Amino acid sequence: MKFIHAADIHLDSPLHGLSAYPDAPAAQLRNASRDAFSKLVELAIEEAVAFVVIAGDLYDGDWRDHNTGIFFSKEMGRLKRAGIPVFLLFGNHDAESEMTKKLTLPDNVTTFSSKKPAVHRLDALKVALHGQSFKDKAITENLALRYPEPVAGYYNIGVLHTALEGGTVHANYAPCSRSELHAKGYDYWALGHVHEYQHWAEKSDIVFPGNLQGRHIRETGRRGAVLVTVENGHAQVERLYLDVLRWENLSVDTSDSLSMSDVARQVGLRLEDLLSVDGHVPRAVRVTLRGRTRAHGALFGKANELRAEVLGQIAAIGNDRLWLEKVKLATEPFGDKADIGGRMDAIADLQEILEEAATDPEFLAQLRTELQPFFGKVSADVKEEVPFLTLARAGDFGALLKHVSPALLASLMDGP
Amino acid sequence: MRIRQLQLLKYGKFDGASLEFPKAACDFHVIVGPNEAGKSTVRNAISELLFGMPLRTRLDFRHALTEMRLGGVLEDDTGGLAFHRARGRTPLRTPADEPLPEGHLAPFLGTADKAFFEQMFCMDHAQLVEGGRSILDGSKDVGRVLFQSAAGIASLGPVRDALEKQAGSLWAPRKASSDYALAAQRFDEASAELKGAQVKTKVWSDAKSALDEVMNDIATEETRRLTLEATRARLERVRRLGPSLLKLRATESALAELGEVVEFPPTALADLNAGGADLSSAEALLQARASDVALRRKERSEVSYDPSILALRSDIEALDAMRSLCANHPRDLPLRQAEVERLLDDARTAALQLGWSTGETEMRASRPTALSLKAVTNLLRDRGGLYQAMRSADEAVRQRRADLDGFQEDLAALASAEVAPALRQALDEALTLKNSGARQRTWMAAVEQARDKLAHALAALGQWQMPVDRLRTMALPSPARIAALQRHRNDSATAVAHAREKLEELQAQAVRLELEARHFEHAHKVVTPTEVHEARVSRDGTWGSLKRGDVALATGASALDAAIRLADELVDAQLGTATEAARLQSIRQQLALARADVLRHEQLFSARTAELEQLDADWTALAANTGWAGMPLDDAAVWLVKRDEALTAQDEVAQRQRELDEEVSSCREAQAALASALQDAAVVVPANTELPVLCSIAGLHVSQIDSTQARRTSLAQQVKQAQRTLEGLKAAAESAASQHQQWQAQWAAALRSASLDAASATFAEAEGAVDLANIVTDRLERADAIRRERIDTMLADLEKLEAEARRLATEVDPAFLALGDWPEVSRRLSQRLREAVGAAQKAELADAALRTAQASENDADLRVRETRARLGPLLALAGVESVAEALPLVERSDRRRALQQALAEAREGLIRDGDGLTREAIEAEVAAHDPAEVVGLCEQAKGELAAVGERLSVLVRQRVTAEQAFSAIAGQANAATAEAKRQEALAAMGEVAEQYIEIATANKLLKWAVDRYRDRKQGPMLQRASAIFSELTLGDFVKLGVDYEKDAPALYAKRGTGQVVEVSGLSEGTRDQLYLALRVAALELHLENAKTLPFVADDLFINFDDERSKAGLKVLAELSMRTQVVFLTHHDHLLPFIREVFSEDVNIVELQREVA
Repeated sequence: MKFIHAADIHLDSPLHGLSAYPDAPAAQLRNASRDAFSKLVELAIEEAVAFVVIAGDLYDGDWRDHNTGIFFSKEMGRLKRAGIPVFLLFGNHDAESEMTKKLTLPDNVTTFSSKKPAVHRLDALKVALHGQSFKDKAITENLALRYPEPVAGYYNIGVLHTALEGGTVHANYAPCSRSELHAKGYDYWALGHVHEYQHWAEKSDIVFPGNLQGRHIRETGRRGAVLVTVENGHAQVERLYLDVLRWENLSVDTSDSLSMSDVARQVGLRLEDLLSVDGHVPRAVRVTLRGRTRAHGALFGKANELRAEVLGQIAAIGNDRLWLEKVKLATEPFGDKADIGGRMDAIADLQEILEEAATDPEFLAQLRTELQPFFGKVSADVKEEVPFLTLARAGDFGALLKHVSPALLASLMDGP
Repeated sequence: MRIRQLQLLKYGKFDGASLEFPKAACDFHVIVGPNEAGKSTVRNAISELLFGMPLRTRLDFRHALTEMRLGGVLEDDTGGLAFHRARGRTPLRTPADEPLPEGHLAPFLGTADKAFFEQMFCMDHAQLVEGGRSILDGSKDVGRVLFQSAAGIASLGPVRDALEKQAGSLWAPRKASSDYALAAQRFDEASAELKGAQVKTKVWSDAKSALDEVMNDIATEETRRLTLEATRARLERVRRLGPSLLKLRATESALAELGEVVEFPPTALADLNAGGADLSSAEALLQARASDVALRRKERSEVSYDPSILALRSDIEALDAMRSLCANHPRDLPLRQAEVERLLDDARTAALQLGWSTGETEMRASRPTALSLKAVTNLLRDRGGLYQAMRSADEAVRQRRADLDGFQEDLAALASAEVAPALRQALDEALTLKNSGARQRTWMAAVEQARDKLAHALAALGQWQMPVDRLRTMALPSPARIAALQRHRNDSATAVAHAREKLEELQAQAVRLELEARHFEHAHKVVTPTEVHEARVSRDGTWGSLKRGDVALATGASALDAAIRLADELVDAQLGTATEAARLQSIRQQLALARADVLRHEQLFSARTAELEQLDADWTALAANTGWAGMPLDDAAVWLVKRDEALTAQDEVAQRQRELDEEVSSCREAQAALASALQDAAVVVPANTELPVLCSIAGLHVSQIDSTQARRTSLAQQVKQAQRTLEGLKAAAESAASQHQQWQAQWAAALRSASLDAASATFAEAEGAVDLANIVTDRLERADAIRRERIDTMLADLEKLEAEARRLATEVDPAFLALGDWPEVSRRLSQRLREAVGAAQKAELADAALRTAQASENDADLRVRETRARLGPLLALAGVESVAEALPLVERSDRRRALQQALAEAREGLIRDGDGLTREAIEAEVAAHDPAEVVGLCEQAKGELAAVGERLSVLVRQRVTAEQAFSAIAGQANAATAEAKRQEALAAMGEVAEQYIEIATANKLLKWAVDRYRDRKQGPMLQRASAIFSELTLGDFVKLGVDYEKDAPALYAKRGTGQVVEVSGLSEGTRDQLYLALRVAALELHLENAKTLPFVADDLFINFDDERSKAGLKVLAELSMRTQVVFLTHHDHLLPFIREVFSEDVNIVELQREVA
């Protein structure tokens, strides 16, 4: 007997942090969450699985487009035509969504009640599924405690949306411990909520399949669901990689580079390496440049040129396979601050003055006045990934100046 | 640090070269050489010696990259270091090639790296010009000018411009094309798109309800429509079928009336009528065909012909063709024979000239073969060449022999002579001194110049001037000792100054503390324990006096009360001012300490002053003892240098004088030797002839003899050459003669063989005889051809015609034989044949016409019989014999069939239009309705149906709209796509925001920092640069200043006349000088605090005129007192100026261009 366990599908949840540029594969990847879900359905049909379990967070809670529900319903229709039942449990996001209540689903989809734990039996397969959906967004009680006893002679699956033992990344909903789950005596716990894949194969198999499709740079690496094969009451869990766009954080050491084009070449080589595994899956890549490099000055203030250089490399590799999220500059100037000080020339004097800026009230006031019009203009929606903006708005320029000063000096020494 | 020696061991074009930079008061070194001499290589070498060689270089054209090596000696106050610089992992090595650690040069170089060195300590013309331009670019901003000049970079302006531009393109207020504005616009568009595309769940529910409702309404109206449709159909049926029913009943009764009828097929009537007509026409045709056959038989019997001649038809036709062919033969034969005769006549004429017999047979026998004739022709062709070769070879032999005789005569006429070796040697030696006069004048001038210099040097010694010999023997303290004394005195003077400063400071502090204590006391009314103690002592004393009875109670009581009150008040006051008292106490303690310090430092100051005075007294004594009475210690070192210069000048005078004397003596010796050698060679010269004249005479003599000798050698070689050539020519002439003889032998034989010897007395006759022989052969061959191809063929054709005509005439008509004219016989046979052929064709036509007529007769007979057979069955069915009898019976049968057909059609109509009802049901329906009302009822039903139809169509439209609204929500991804675009725009906004904040901050920071830099550096730098600039511009400009009235403080230069000129108003050359002034000023300020490195100036003064070059050199001279200056130039003309500014002894290293 084979079944698929998926969770945290977040249908139609957008990709964050990717700006569209002319050659970006934006058009084909904007609906990545749908495409990944369609792949899941195709695979279920192909593998002729006995049933599919979805352990919560089908939609984003604040997503209001009913088309998403219709799309889900249509995909369920495909599974119905293939004779595959689906067991659907609602998590914190689904509980918020109006769609959950109104959507008419095909009769192959069984939803778990949010009022009390329920058992759904598949007598022909001797499988019993236990579960309870979230009634509202924030369930902080331990739902697992009230799950029923296992059905004797059946393969018992507990379906639960939980933060388990309280990770910090995800809200601590329906908390419970692994030992509590083991103690329940089920064979398999199909969990959802935590977006990273985890599997504890002890007394029971406790599995987080991870989310189906990464949506931002904090969700890097391969994503998908799991295919569970049960033979003689023993489960074998195999990961299914269904993401249609994979997020990667590529750190490039530029210590040996002398110029921007050197850096771009180096990045190009690393990008090619990246595609040596699962080369058919397009990537959203953040390139972080690191290292003490002579090119530090040449890179500063040239974000657009640098981006264009990296995009040039991407064009050579294949624009349809790589989508550049951003090029982040984390390089440091070549040589020591003390070395510049030791020169005792105008550059050394300037370094000393630049260091004073961070504590000079007059300069800080001037800088605030300079940036204020921009702060007034910049949209409140811009908040992620711009730490300097947040700090500077709050009047904290320390980190910004610490970042800008050495680069400015290096750029003066190298010429513009 | 300075470089004492630079070794270019294996580097660029150099191989083992070494440049020395000895230390001097002005540490200035000139490297001069033309282009391509290696100045740039030396400049590179200095940088690479100090800071290492790069991975790649263009200088590996002579030595392999791995072998390249530099060496050098560095030195500073602490000592020197010799080392080598190679490539590879351990580039620093000892001269013995042992590796040195990486940081081995650090004590000399400090933290400087190559970039810093080249930026700060190297300068060439291009950088000077670039610097001048950068000053112009930044002329409105003195901070930028100062910073760029001090740092030796030109990037500040471009960096700032780039930041400004970048920030502007990212974001600017009210700029719609900025990156941020564009991203924000995309964001707004995507937000609007999202709003339009998003479908809330309630919208979907409403759409679904609307669709369900309209579907229900449609179902209700549909039911009503069906009911009305049934009523309308029934009424329509009644109206439609009523008349049909009546007609059906009438047909049924007419059929019953007709009774029994013989049944014929439906076509019987037509068959009978047609069969009767066919029969009568067929019988008439048969009759006409029979009479036609009889007529054709008669016509055939009238035609006859002879068939035997037709059997010979092809032979007779062939004979007639042959007759046509031979028609012209009798006329042609005599013509061809005459032509043969003409050709034979031509042949005979030619044979006669050749001396041959003229009979045709004889001519044929005498004809030479083609081979022998060809041999004669070829020999004739070769003869001219062979004869000409023989003649030419003879002529060449004669010519060469004449040349040889001429050479030998010339050689015998030339006399032989030799130059004496003594003369030659004397001349060589004299030639080196030929221009000695000019040199002697130069040496004399040099002696004078050296003497002047000595006089100057002695004058520079001032009041301590004395003769050179005394100067040389003076027992003076060494420079090191003077330096030590100076240091000692400086230290002592500094110590005195410090002591004075400290003393003054402490005295001031003591005064301040005293004042403070006084003020504090005054302000706080502090009661000290001493005062309390004193009050208590006074109280106790008063009480003691009372107790002891020293004072009467009456008189002392009030004093005691006052003393007790005072003591108590003081105690109370003391308690209230404890803090102030402690503070006062502390101040007083500080005051005491300060006074002690003052005392101690007064003593120290006295000691230091005494020490300094002692030092000065010692120096005065020392100076007096050494003949230096009154010499200030600070001037002693300089005086020593000047004394050294005087001594050196004296040495130079002696040296120059020695060189002049040597030159004069060498010149005299050479003159005597040359005169004597000329005498020995018998050349007469007047006594006391000058050396240059002697050189010319001797030179002319030697060159004449040498030239005769050369001519002899050349002639001897020409004789040998001519003899060798003559031998070769003789052999060639013999060979040509032998070939000609051989030809003559072959010629006689060939003539004989071709039977042409009789007519070939000369070569011209022989050529004619060959032509005649060819004519004979040609004419005979053409006569043969005419006979063979024409005459013989015609005779054969005529014979053949006769034989065939004879044969055919015998078979057809022997009477023709008697005619004898065979062409005529042939013509008559043809005539006979044509007649027979015509008759035979006629008979054939008559036969064919008869056969056709007989066939037509048979056809007519068959048609009559067929028609009768067709009518047979119908007549039998009717039971009658003729067609006319059968016709009424057939018409009755047709009437019955028509009635039956009408009945069947009526029944079928009932079934078709009766909507499936039986006849009975229809009859019942028709009977149930009054025919007069049916139409009205029907129209009413139709009206109601139309109303229902209209309602339905409205509902269907509503359904379409509802369906569209509902199916529009089909799970499409428009909203998701719009949200994705919104997020993309948001990401772009975030990126731009981050960049903008960085760039704007950098821009602001740079402006602020440069202003700060200006605030701090402007004073000292401009002060020093003003002086240098004034010197460089020869006093045209006297001051540099800053104009604060501008938006950003701007630099200006002030002329000696007081006129103020902005930087943009300076000429290009002056701007370059300004830049140089700022750079040198910055360098001097830098050197005050930092380690010194050599300053490398590469062809800096290319665009400077002589005076300004000199001024520039003076500036560098001042710099060279602080650090080593290496000055590279390819201008020789600068050297006199350099010597003038520095001294004749300035170190000049000359590089030579390598000759390829």
